[in-house]
Amino acid sequence: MLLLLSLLSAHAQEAPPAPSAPDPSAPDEGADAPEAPAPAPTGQEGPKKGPKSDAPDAPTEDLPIIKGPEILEYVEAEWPPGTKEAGEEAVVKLVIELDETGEVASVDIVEPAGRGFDEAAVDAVLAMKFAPAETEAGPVPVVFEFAYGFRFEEEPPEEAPKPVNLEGRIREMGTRVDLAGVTVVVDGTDLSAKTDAEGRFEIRGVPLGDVTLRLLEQDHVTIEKTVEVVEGEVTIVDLWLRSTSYRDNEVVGVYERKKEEVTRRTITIEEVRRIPGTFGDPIKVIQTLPGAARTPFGTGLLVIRGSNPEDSGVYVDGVRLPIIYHLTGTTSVLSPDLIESVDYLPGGYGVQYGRSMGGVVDIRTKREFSEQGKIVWGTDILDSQVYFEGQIGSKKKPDAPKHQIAIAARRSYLDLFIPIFTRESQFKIKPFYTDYQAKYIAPTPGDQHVSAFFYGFEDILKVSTPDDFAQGTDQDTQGDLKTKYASQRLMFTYENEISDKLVFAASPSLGYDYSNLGLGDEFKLQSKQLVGQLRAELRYTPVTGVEIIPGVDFLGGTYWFDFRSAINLEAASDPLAEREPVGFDGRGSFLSPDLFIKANLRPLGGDDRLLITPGVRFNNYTIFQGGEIIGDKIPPSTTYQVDPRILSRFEIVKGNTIKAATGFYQQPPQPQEALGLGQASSVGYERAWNSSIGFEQQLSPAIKWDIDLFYKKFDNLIVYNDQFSGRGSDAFINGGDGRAYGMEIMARHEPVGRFFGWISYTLSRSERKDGPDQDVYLFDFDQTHIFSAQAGYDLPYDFGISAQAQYVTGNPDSPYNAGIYDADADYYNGFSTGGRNTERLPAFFQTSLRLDKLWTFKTWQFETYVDLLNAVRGVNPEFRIYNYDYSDSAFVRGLPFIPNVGLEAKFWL
Amino acid sequence: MRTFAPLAFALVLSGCVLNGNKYQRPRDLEQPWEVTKPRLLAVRAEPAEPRPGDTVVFEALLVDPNDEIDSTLWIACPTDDNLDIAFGCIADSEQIIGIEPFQAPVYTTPTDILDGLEGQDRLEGRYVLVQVTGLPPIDPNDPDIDFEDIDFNQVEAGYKRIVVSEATTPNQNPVLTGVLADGNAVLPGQVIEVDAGQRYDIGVTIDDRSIERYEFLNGDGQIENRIEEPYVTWYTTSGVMVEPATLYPFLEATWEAPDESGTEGTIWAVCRDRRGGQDWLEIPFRVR
Repeated sequence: MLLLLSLLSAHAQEAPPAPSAPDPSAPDEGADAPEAPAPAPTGQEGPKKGPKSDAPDAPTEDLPIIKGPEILEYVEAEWPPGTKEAGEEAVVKLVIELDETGEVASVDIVEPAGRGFDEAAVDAVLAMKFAPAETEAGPVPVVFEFAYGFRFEEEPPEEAPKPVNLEGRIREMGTRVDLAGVTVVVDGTDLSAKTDAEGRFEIRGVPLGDVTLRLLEQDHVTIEKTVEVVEGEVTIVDLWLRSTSYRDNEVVGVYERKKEEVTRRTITIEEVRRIPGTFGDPIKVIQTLPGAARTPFGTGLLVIRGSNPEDSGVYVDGVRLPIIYHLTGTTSVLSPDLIESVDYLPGGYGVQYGRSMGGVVDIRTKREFSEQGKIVWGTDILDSQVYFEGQIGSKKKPDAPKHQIAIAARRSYLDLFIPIFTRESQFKIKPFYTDYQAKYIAPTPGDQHVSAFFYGFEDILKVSTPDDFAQGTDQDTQGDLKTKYASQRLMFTYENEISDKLVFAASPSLGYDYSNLGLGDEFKLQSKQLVGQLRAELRYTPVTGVEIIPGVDFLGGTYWFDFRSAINLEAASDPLAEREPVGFDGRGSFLSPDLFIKANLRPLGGDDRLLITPGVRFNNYTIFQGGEIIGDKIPPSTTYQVDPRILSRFEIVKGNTIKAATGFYQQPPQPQEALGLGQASSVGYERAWNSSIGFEQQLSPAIKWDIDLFYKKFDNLIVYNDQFSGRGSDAFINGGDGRAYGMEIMARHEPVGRFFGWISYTLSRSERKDGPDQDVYLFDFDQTHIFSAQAGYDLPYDFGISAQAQYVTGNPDSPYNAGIYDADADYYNGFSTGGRNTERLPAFFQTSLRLDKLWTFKTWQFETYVDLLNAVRGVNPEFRIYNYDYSDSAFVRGLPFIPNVGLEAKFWL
Repeated sequence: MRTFAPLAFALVLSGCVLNGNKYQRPRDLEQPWEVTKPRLLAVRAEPAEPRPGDTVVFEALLVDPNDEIDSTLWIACPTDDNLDIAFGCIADSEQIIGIEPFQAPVYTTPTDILDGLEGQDRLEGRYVLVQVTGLPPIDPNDPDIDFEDIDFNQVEAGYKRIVVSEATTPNQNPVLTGVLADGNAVLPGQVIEVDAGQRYDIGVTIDDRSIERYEFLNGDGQIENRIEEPYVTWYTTSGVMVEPATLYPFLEATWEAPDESGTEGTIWAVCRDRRGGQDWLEIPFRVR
């Protein structure tokens, strides 16, 4: 066997040597113990080996060596033929010269051993890798002596093993997961054991009587347990350990996707769920990130980098959704337990995302469910929800892929509670929402993924009055108000890593949307839509550093709507006009098979340090229209546009990355904007030229920050056509333009240790102009300053505390100066001598606090929390409303102070 | 952490105190039924739907609880078919039809106002816009007055349309015939005595002949026989108007008397027939 004896001495060639150990892993030092064993660098079984050193020889000149040479990679020498079998041992003393890079410059034999040992030792040293010696000035060449030993280690005499008299199983409390790698120490002895993959351990020769076991594992709380060991019996114990942080078990969202976008912010699910004010909803957190404007409470709108709410897209597993929040705007339509990650891309994203001029929110559902099975039940002041996930498969084949399923459902109870609190009112207000999801992941080989995901939701708002209630002045507006919006999607995902160079992914989906707005029997607006989507891409890597990704992003479907009203448009604006019922329907279909191709170029040998992503997207859509509103049959209209984009990231030094992007982002008109009235609509794509440049820096494993500057130029914006003259003309035209620019900064502490949090600041301005001769005005959600901070801290005993604060400049406002009374209608018409959005609402300031506590039992967990939403009772003006004659105004306030109490229980099966 | 918790708690409390009433709330805004300043509540034309060349006499229910209005300027002008109805007449001497209290508002409709219209369009008629402006103490005859400089917060301004037509069944103003307090008839001009803070059902009666039947040629070219659907809006100088509007046949509104004994005030009921006809009644009250 090999035995490395020591580094005997070191000689700096141009600098005096220092008394340092060449390898910090070497336990023993000293020239007088050259054959003392040291830990094996390779961790192999057998005789111990490792470098040893003593103080280097006398100095030569200048700076002392403050760090000796180190063996970075140890190489075992080949025993010369026949020597091992003959039981021959030897020690070869060498002098090694290293240059300032750690390369072996020369090896001289000082004391040869002959019989082929010398050559074997020299070959081994030449193959080793060293770190150079260092002075304060940096690495320096060095010469040192080295003894390479060829020795057998004597095998210790075998003792007869004592019988196992203590065995047990260790599991984690709550999750009941078998814990592997737990060290079980019998106090007062040198007996110990480690648990296996099934959490089991056994110890031989445990002293009889009461013994104390100490259970040690770095992610769990150390406990001591006294057990009685009886002579002639095997004592069996069942032990439980508490995790030091159960919350980390939920951090399934800590996922790293290759950064192909200039700005992609991924927030872990657990971080988000503990932010006060989000109602535990991961998707709500987007509104606290840079570039996202604050939108009125309850609306759930997404206003990103100065774009309209409808300009941003929300995707779930690659499928675009029409709506992501329920009608209260406080809760998303997906179960938070089903969500793996939420990516937020405010701009500068690739060509795989289209039909958007604003930002993108990319939500990914879980791709793997707990093998053990889990049921989660949660409730707060808004709703209750239940969630199940688990795996189904043969116990006979534990390693075989299993069927994985998850099911979730939620129902609000606002419709049950609000009538209790509004008994005095003759109005009965019943908001209601529900959602449901199911996901199935098929058992497939590791290089494939096949799953199906179904989700749906329904939002209903009813406002009713008694039949004999004579409120109002209008017989045609006496009916009950009822709105309903429902949506379902069935999505499939197929991914196949065909080879190292070829990956295919496809996500077909089918969806149905329904909406209804009614006021008694007198007003009704209904619409239905059947939507098909297909997203497919091929990721081809012909050579290292080059990925080519062609893809298709298809959107198509049919729609139908019906409008009926007891009041015609003329009567709506003229109180003396005779009313006539009006109604029409419309129907049509649309096809938008967009194609894209992009390349991920990594010129630095495939290294992610430099990534350049050019791409181009071919947009097109065709609309077929019909129905009463269209009138005579009109030909289908087709529109084409091309979006070239280029994105790049460059890590100039480790942890410091600059990034830039520019490109066109175009989106088709909304359905109502492209409605042809007796002729095909000439409305086409709206366009934004979006550019950004930024820098991000990883200050430590937990802390990073980034900054982005962006400029967005809008043109072809769709505005109302003031030349609209009814059938035969376009109600909307591509006549507007505008711009948005600003700066975004974010600093973040990842959930490492007990603390997590981030602060973000956005400075921006967004303007619009509705035509060449029109005045420039501020965008309706232009907010100069947006500051947001949130942080959480894990307290002892599974308490947690978190806080959130937000300051935002007030939204622009168009003030009214006075009102003029219409004596025929009995209302005042407001008029303004100022322009649009020439004033601002007061600034918004809100702070929320949250305190939570987790109880863990052997088979389940229970968590309760109190969210103090808007704890400092900020005024939070959302809208200005005027009194009847516009002589006075007040603000409709947002979220009041609300103590939200929530409960959540988790059961592991 | 020991110092953090009390600090956070103090911050919460101070925030509650400091921010609670910084801005006015919507519920603090004055309601349309509250009459606390000069208000134009109705404008009546007689006849309600004149023919070309007819003379029309106007009356406004311009209430002024604090005596801030000094004079009322009346202006009338025919509207263009394509012109949106608004405060759009030009205040020149030709269009001024009255300056109260100096000159009662009287207007003779142009004889040629329906020129250019044929058949059914002449039956439907054309609008004349009448503007009413209650002015603070200024002399409207002063040649230096520039109406463009008037501060609209100091004036009460409104407008009304009158339909000039050759209709076979021209509209008539509705006629309110009496007042009911908790179902009991109140004599004209009688001050009703009420208890402080109590609720009363204040109602009006309407002449059945006011609910007119008329013909309407609809968009399909067919004649429909229609019946008017009048409604009443309610106003008061004090107390709370629980139901500020009632729709025929419900002509009673719940009113809560003021809390202060000795309070005197007025309730107004204004009836509109949706075709431009209007009438009103004044109901004085005193809290016992």
